[in-house]
This record gives sequence, C-alpha cells and structure tokens, in this order.
Amino acid sequence: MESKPLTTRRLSAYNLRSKPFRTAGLVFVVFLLAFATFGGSLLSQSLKNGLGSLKERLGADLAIVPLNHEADYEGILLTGQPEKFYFDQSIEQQIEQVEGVSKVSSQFFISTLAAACCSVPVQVIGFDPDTDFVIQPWIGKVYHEKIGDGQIIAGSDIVLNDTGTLKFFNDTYKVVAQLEKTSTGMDYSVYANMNTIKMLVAGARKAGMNLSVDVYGTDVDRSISTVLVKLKKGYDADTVTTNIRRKISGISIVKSQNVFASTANNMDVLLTFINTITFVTWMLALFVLAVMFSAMINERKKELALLRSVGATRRKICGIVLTESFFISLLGGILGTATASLIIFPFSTYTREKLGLPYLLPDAAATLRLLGMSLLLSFAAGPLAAAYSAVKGSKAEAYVSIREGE
Amino acid sequence: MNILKNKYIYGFLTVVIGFLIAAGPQTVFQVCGVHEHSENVMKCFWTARAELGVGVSISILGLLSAIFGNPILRLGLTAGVLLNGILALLIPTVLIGVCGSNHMNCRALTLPALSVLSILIVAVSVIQAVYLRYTNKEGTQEDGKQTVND
Amino acid sequence: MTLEVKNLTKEYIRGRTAFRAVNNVSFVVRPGDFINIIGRSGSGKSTLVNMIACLLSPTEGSVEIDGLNITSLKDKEASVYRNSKIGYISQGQSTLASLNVLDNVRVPFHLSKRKGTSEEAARSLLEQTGIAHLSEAFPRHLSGGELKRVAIARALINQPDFVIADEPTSDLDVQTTAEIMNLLKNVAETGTAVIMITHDMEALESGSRTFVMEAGILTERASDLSRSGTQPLRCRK
Repeated sequence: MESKPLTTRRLSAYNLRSKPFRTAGLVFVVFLLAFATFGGSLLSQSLKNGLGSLKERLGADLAIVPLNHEADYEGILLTGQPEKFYFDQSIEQQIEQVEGVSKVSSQFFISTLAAACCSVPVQVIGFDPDTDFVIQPWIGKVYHEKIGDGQIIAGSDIVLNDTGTLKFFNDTYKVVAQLEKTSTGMDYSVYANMNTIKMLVAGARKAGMNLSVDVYGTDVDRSISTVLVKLKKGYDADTVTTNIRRKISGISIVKSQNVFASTANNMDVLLTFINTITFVTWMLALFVLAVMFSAMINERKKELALLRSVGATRRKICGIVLTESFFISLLGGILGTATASLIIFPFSTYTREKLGLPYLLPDAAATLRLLGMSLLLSFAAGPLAAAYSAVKGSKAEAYVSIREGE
Repeated sequence: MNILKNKYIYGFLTVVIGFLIAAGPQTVFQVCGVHEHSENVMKCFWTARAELGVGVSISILGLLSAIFGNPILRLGLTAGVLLNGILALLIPTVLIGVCGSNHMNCRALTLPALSVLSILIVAVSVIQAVYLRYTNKEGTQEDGKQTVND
Repeated sequence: MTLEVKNLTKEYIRGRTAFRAVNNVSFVVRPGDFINIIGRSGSGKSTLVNMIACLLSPTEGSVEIDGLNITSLKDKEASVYRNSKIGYISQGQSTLASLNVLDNVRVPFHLSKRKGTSEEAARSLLEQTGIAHLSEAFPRHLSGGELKRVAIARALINQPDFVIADEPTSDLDVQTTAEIMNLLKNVAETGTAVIMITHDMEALESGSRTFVMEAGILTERASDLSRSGTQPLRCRK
C-alpha cells in the first residue's frame, strides 16, 4: 500500500476523524444553521408566493353572498372548504343597476359528496362564461376553448381518475384542463358552466342524494350563490357597498381587499416569527462555532507549534484550520439543507393545511437560488467562525506554545 | 470508522426506521381508516397494514445485523433491508396506494412520511453495503484490526 | 555546512525592566559536531535554540549558515529553511495524535514541495530507530521512549544538516536515555551536527563539545570536564 502525500486536506481530514465526537458536534451546529437558513427562507418565500397568488386570484372587488355567509365564502376562497348557500338570482340584476358597479357575474356553488371511494367532498363552482371576469382569465392560461356542457376544469389539487375524468353521483365528467397551482381554495375546486351544474344536480337527485344539493327554493334555474362585482373606475369599495345595501337587504358583502388584508396580517406575524427564529439560530450557530473553534485551537496549540517547528508556514497552519472548518461546513451544510428539503417538500400539503394560509412553494429556479444561497452561507459559516482562531493559532510563537504545552 | 460502532449505528437506525414504518401509519402519521360514508375500506388502510409487516421485517433484520459479526452475513442482511425499503416505498405509491384527495391525511402526511422513511432506509443500506464491501476487500481480519484500534 | 552564531541576544520585557534571556552568545557548529548545552531551567537554553531554528527572532546578533543570515528570513523562507536544514526534536511528547507513527514521521517531508514519496525513507528511519513494528500504531499507544524515537525519525526525514534536540531524554529512564543518546550519537557520526540541550548528566557522555548556559551567557567547557558524567550540575566548578 503506497501512502498518499500528507496534504493540508488530508491532515485536516485525519484530525477531524481522530475526534469523531467533537467533529459530529461541530457538524451538527452547521447542520442547524443550514437547516434554519434553507427551511426558513423556503417557508417565508412560500408564504409570500401564496399571498401574491391570492392577490391575483381576487379578481372581483366585491362578492355579494346570502346574509351571514361571509366566512363561508372566505373559506371557499382561501382553503376550498366546501360550502353551499343560495339566494334568488334576481339579485344579480338588482346589483347591476347600483351606481358604481361596472361588471357583475354570478356563481353557483354545490359540494359533491364523496361519491367514489377515497375522495372527499369537492366544491363545484358553476359560472356563467358570458359574464365571468374572475375565473376565465385563469382558465385561459391552460385551456383556450369555450367550456362545453358536461366538461369541467379541475383545480390543481384535485386527483383525477386514470382516464382524466371525475365521477360525481354516478355520472362521469370529462376534465378538459387542470389549473395551475394557486395555493388558494381554487386548487380544491372544480369549475363548470351552469348547464353542467344542472346536469350535476339532476344526477344527484337521481342518485337520491338530494341533501347534498339543497337548492334555494326548489329551482336550480332561479338560484345563485354569489354575485361578484367589479367596480367602476373612481368608485371605492365602501361607497358601492353602501349603495348596494341601500337597495338590497338580506345580503352580506365581502370586500376582497379585506380578505387580502387580514390574510396578509396573519402572515406578517408568522413571517416575523420565522425570520426571527432563522436569524437567532444563525447568530447562535456562528457564536457557538467561534467558541468551539477557539477552544479547539487552544487545545491544539502544541500540535500547531510542533507543525511550525518542523517547517510549516503560518499560511499552512491557517490552511489546516480553515480546511477543517470548511469540511465541517460542507458536511453540515449539505446535511442541513437535505434534511430541510426532506421535510418541506414532501410535507408541503400538510404544512399548508396546518398553516391555513396561502402557501405556494417557489418554482425550481427560485428554489435552487435559495438552496445555493443557504449552502453558500453554511459553507462560509465554518471558515468565518474559525478565521480568527486560525490566525491566532498560526501567530502564537511556536516556542511559547511548545513551552505552554508542557 | 470503527467496525463495532458501524454495526450498532446501522442496527439502531434500521430498527428505529423499521419501527416508524410499521407503527407510524397507525399512530403519528395516521391514515384515514375506514371511510365514514360508505362501507368501503379505503386503500390507505391496506397500505398501513402492509407497511406494518414490512416495517417489522426491517426492524428484525436490523436487529440481526447488530447481533451478528460476520461481514458476509451482515451484507446479506443489509440486502434484505434494502429490498424491504424499496417495498416500503412502492406500497403507498404503486402497489396499493393511498386515497384520492390531497386534503386527506394519508396523502398529505402518511405518504410523504413513508416515502421519506423508506428513501432514508434505502440510502442508509446502500451506504452500509458499500462500506461492508469496501472494508471486506481491504482485509478480512477485521476483528484483529479492531483490537489494535481500541 | 557551517552554522555560525554571532552575538545572539534576546531581550524580553518583564514588568518594566528589560531582561536578557540570551546575552551575546557566539559559537560555531561544524558538520558532525555533537554539541551539549547544559544549564538550569530558565537559563535561556531553549530561547537560544529556538532562535537558531528560526522560531524566534533575536533582538540582536545573527545566525549564519554558510554566510547567509537566516534570522532576517521571511516566514515562508524561514519555514523552508527549518523544514529542510533543521531537524527539530522538541521538548516533551511531540507527536500529532491524529496520525499514526509512519505518518508522523512523514509530515515534514510534505510541508515543502518535494518530488517523490516519503514512505520508503520513513520506514527505513523507523527501522533505524528500532520502532518499525509500530509504524501503524497511534501515538496514544506508545511509551515515552518510543515517542522520542518517533520524534528523532521525524527530525531526520528531510536529511537535515543540523538536528536540534531540546531535552530529548527528560522523563526517560536510564536504560532508554542511553538508547536515545546512542541514536543521536549515530546521527552525528553520519555528518549531521547535533545540538542538544540537556540537564541530564547521563546524557553528556556522548558530547563532543559542551557549553554551559547561565543567565543567558554561554561558556564552553574544556572537553575533559564533560566526561565527569555523574557530577551534579551545581558542583561543576
């Protein structure tokens, strides 16, 4: 067996290997640092993305819903929690007349029961393709034709059958397109035109599941769930709300702005929390590393002095110490980001459900940027923390150190 | 790395991960269970059952590999763990699957948990197998080497 | 190759007063010389040899090798000089705990750029110092005498012109001391000059020239006096 040259790298590696416990401790500190950096930045980026997506999704300025159903409507919007509520469709025309209203479009909500095995109730949103100004811009991104009767568009989190269809109440519907992920309730909803909705209701009745489509009055044709309003330029939401209230009673009004603002507020608290934790972990890790390296150099003063006395330059001594710290950083950084990935990516759906906030993972490029940044920070952490000790270790007069070692 | 330590580290990891694969779907990352609205038992219920078997098998193999010293025998046990790990991954993804909606626990929690655990056990076993091969090639007298180092 | 120490002085500040650890020391070392430097602790012996090894810079005076003043070298050149010309055997137990015996001996070879490999030379040195059987062992399993042998082998790996040994036989038993001294004597016989600090009178046996260091001042003793091996240091007059 031919021995390999004792390079700086090898000397460092041997030294790390000879103290496995200490090395593991140092690696663990960098691990925490990398984990906090990557996990924290991914989490906060996802929340910001989610908020941005929600903002874009709120295409209407106002949503008029039956009295006391504001929370239900927000639920549909934010989490896709299936709800149903109805009022008379004549309200749509009444609102159209109100001063300050530019566009109106009605939607019809029903929730399906888990008809097939292993599915949960899904929110089906019926809309009028002729007046809609909220959903179609989104559908337009993935499907360019007019949605026909019996066709549906599915949110990104709806799991389709192998044949690309969905089955509701014994009838099969063709899914013509699936929307991009938005991190809002849109992901859990299914969209169809009103004729399809009528087919659905008929199907439900035939299957004897009337309870699930408890339509206002008894007539699907005369019921709607919400009227979405776009304001005219120059009118603000409060004025128009007052105008509507003056004319129509027995309704509630949801202002998109408020939905967005309250979500943004909740998110701010969480973001501050995440950022603080990340920052504190970072500082703590750096401090602990610096202390540990300083202790390590003190303990190894004699060895470093010995290396000096047999001909190592100061640079070489610095190199050995810094290389050691870099190896530690490398291992800790890779393990930390890998672990954060193993938790954040597979469990993203779960995280989003638990947070109850819009949560949208960044795309591949942004993720790679965050990963690169986190790795860079972790790789730098070790040498950064060790720099002072390395210089100190290399400067300690060899003679003095040898003496102190006695 | 010390042979003795390696043996226990691998054994410990395998026993723990095997236990989590076996017990997790019943407890910490529970599947949905029997459906509320129909008589049908959901897929994830069977997945949990199957993982119980596979997980226990992984744990036992891990325990055995911590007991036996013979590297060839341990290599064989590691191969067993590796194959079981692949099986643990395939059950919720391909062979049986989980329920249909992203909303449900088994898809949001059980599936990722099982995937992570089985990928971990597969990775650890591959590393262990390579390690056992490598140390075996270098010298067969591992026990002798051990005493010099201790 | 001749090493000439000229008026070498090292001053330390203690409190407010300057204190000369080494005071105007001069002597010449020629190939094959075996030089003993004796003296009490704190008399300035170690300071002196550390200046010769370029580990400390003198306050005044110079150390010249074939006319080149090495005390004015920059860190890199000084390190190269130390690495190639000097074999340094430091006080006490001085090995790298993370390396095995063979690698400990090989270390100096790899600190400067060199062609070839170090293993063969290291093994042959381990053979000469009588610890070839321990080449794969780690320092923590070695006895004091064995560690000293490692240090000697390491000092010789780059075929230095000078070997500096700072109390190589302290805390060794009589038998081992004799063995170590024998090794150093053999080194000197091959033409490498040996400068040895000691306060062990047993060790003086093999000295060709003996210097006494007292309060920073170095004086050479007549060679016959150095033979009075068992005489205690305080009775040297």
